[in-house]
Amino acid sequence: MSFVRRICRANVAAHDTRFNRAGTMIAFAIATSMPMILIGFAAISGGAWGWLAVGYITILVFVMDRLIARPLENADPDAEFPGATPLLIGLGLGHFALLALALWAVAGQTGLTPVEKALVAISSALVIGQISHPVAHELIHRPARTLRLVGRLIYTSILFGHHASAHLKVHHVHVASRSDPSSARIGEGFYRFVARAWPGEFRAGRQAESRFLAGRNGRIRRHPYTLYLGGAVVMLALSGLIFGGNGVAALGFVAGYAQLQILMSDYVQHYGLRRTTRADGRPEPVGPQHSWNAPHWASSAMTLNAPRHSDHHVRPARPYPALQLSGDTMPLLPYSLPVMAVLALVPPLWRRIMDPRAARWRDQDTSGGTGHNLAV
Amino acid sequence: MRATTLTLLLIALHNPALAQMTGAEFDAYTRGHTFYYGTNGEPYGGEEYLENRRVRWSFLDGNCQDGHWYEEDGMICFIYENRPEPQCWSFERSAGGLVARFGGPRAMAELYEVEKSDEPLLCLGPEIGV
Repeated sequence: MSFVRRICRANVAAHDTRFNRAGTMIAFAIATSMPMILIGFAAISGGAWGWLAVGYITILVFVMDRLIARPLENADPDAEFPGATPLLIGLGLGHFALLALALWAVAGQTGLTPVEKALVAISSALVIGQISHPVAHELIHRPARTLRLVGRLIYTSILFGHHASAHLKVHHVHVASRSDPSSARIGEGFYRFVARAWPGEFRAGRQAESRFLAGRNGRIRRHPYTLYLGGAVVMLALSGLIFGGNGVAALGFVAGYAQLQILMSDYVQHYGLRRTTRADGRPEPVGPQHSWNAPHWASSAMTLNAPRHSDHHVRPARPYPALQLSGDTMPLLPYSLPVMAVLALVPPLWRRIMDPRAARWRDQDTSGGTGHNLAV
Repeated sequence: MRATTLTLLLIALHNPALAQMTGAEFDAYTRGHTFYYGTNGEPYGGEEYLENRRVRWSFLDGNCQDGHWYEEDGMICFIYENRPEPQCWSFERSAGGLVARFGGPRAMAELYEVEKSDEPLLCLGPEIGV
């Protein structure tokens, strides 16, 4: 039974007529490919390139978010962006090239100094956690099977394949309820969340996939966890065979650091928000009030609009350039997503900033069929 | 005390509208049939329930989507070939037949069974011959 059809174009008046679709796609393309190119130079020639790559993702994006104010703009929610999928495919292939290059630069015979190697390792982990992750995430939501497979392979390459299953079959179904391991509870610190969410996602995703395949032929062969675990073994074996123990260590570092950032974005984007339980015992439908958002343009461009998270949960099929943001119905983070991620590393500070805000959204009476206000 | 418990139990048993259907109940009730659903007095869509929890859904416009369903936390979740996110509904049996409530995202009105048929769904799409 399907809920989704071409819904009438009601409520679309909210979008901005001056929204520049071509300009938006160019901004996404530049903001995502620039750090990958910088890492390419850093891996091949070392020197200042590694500093530039790390500096771009951290300091430059932070400064651009803060200094260059841009009005909040929404595209026509039904607008088509012909460049959106080619950019995803390019970045998806770029991810595999980047990962191979980073392993070679860190563990191969490159003549880079230890500092240069460390810069490549850190910057590539940052890029994978903040760019490859949104790319893979978009891909696993796409209707085309091949694109979904590429998304799964990106997560598999960083030994985190199960996130693809847990995100679709657990997180989207159970978000902001106790049944979702990826929705952080109020008062839960980031480190405690990681210890609970990583195994929780692995288990819940596996169980959901098993239920989905139950009673069908070729269960083990068709089970996505066969791909995830097999792929992880292949990745570790290839790194070890080509680059030795250092290769395995380099993959472990880059993948582990990237995984922490994926967990961090889940932590920040749902912290403390809960769906209320209705009279029939089921949680209320997912609405815009169940995710945190951020309007900052530079970090949004680099992460393919990942901080526009409420709309993604309400309309998971909407492509990234068309995601909507509205400060009236959606919880807004006080700072940009990367800044919030840094704050979350200090749990007492995080709680002081976020607990009152989360409590305000939880106290609102949203039982009266929320979500209708959102532009469809 | 025991009589009261027994009475409550009997009421519960005789009032299936209160109970959310399990996957097995849903399968037994729907398999081999085509159901037509409506909402607010309007036709909404139809679904043919096949072996192995395969389904074919249509908004009754001649286009059909193949998919599968599975049970998730008391809900029946459908995944169609063109859409990777599960769409979960809780099903109840009332005197008039099935009633389905969407589990999110977003609220919507209930769907209810309008007709239960043994004829296959009408699909005019290129991949399925008619």
